[in-house]
Amino acid sequence: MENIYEILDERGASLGNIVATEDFVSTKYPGRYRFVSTDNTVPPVIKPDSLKGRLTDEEQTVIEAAKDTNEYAKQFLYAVDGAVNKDGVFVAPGPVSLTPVPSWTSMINGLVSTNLLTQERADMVFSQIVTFAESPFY
Amino acid sequence: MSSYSQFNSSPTNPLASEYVTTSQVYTARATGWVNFVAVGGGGGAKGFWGAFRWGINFGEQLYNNGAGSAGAAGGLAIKSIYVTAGTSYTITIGAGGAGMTHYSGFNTNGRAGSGSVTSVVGPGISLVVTGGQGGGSSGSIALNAVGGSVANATNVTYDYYSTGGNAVGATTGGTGGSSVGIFGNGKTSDNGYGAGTGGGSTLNSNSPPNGYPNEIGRNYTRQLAGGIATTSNYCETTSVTAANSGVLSNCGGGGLTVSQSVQYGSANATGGRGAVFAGGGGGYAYSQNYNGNDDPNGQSWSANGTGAAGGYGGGGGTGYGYKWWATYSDNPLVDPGIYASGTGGAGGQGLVIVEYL
Repeated sequence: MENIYEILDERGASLGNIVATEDFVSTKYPGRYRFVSTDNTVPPVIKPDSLKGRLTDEEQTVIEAAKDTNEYAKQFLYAVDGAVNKDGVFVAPGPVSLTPVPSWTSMINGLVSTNLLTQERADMVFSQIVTFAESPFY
Repeated sequence: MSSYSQFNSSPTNPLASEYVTTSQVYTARATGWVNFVAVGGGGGAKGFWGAFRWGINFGEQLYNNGAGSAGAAGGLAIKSIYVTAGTSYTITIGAGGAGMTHYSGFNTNGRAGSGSVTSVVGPGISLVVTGGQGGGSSGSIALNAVGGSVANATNVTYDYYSTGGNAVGATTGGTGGSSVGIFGNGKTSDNGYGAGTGGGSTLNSNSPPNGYPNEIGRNYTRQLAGGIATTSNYCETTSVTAANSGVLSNCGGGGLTVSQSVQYGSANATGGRGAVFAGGGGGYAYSQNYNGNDDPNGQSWSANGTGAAGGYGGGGGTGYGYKWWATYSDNPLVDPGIYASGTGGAGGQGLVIVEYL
């Protein structure tokens, strides 16, 4: 897992903070690093249902209506609502990173390319700042 | 120094660009020419606040204030080298500086966190790019913040380099963070007045430079206008989030002003986050608690401005909380409360882009 680590010189003075895994710092800077925090500077993470909540009721209705014929709508609803897997067990979706992760990007782009969502609205859905209530920590 | 057109020219294999967002030993996966693009971490912002009171006899008085400033952006450097598949390069990604909150009643000196160094070291390359300085204050004086640069700044070492945008001391309004220098040196943060100011776009205007289309050939650079400051006067809601976040690469986050004027209530404003390479937006919250009558409970209303984080390498935006409280009691010893605060946004972390040409 990526965190922020402070790198120290031989005398214990700080050389700055880096974003890294513990494997990296323990290999490159053995005995000369310390944990600072989880990385709070990367793009925020939003709960899937909050991502869905950013769509208007009309947009949600359009996507819902297309779920049986449109693969992107089906994928999107699966991801934001959770789903029943092949064994009949409900699978809660994980948090959605707002970094342009390919799977989410392709899903949103797919909704745009099939006219279920406008490009302007797609950009807005992905770029709007995450409120605390939308975060997985709420 | 090479022209940025080199950076912007369409690569023969545009899909072969990789974002490296965490430190690692990177192994070249093909033989050929590669651009390493390194960006230092952005500086965090320090929020600021002002508390004012008004009395029927003594007029408006500044009760107290705490200064602050936005974060400066990280430096940028590019180096093209010929790599052999399987060769290892150590990439270290500098973290962004943490933002700092400034509460009335708890005035502090010092700076928010500065961004750290991003580097690429290996056969034929030694890119070392420093981060942007964090915003800060000394007493009631805001401190400027200096953008990141490069170590050993020669064209022998780098094919292109630029300095991250500086940040000037904020005085009024939420102030957006500065941007990475994509087109020349980075844009200095604006000092807003009366409105939350958008974070610095990597452009120095809201339109593309001559010769550049809206969509550049690189998959990570699209030119759009920076975020626009929004003013919401007399708003009925007391907490609004900026709608003008930076949408795609190069867009500064939008600033936001919330003015809870001529009515009782708290005001909260949060700037929009900057997109890749751009500064975060500032947030400016103004709470004026006066309705023509004495307001003995005016202390309890708050004004909380929150700046947003910068995108990769971008400086954090500052928040400004401005509380204005009126009383007929005319007692100069009455404390207007500790309910004004400004929260600075964090600087964006550094980034390395590896482009196979």
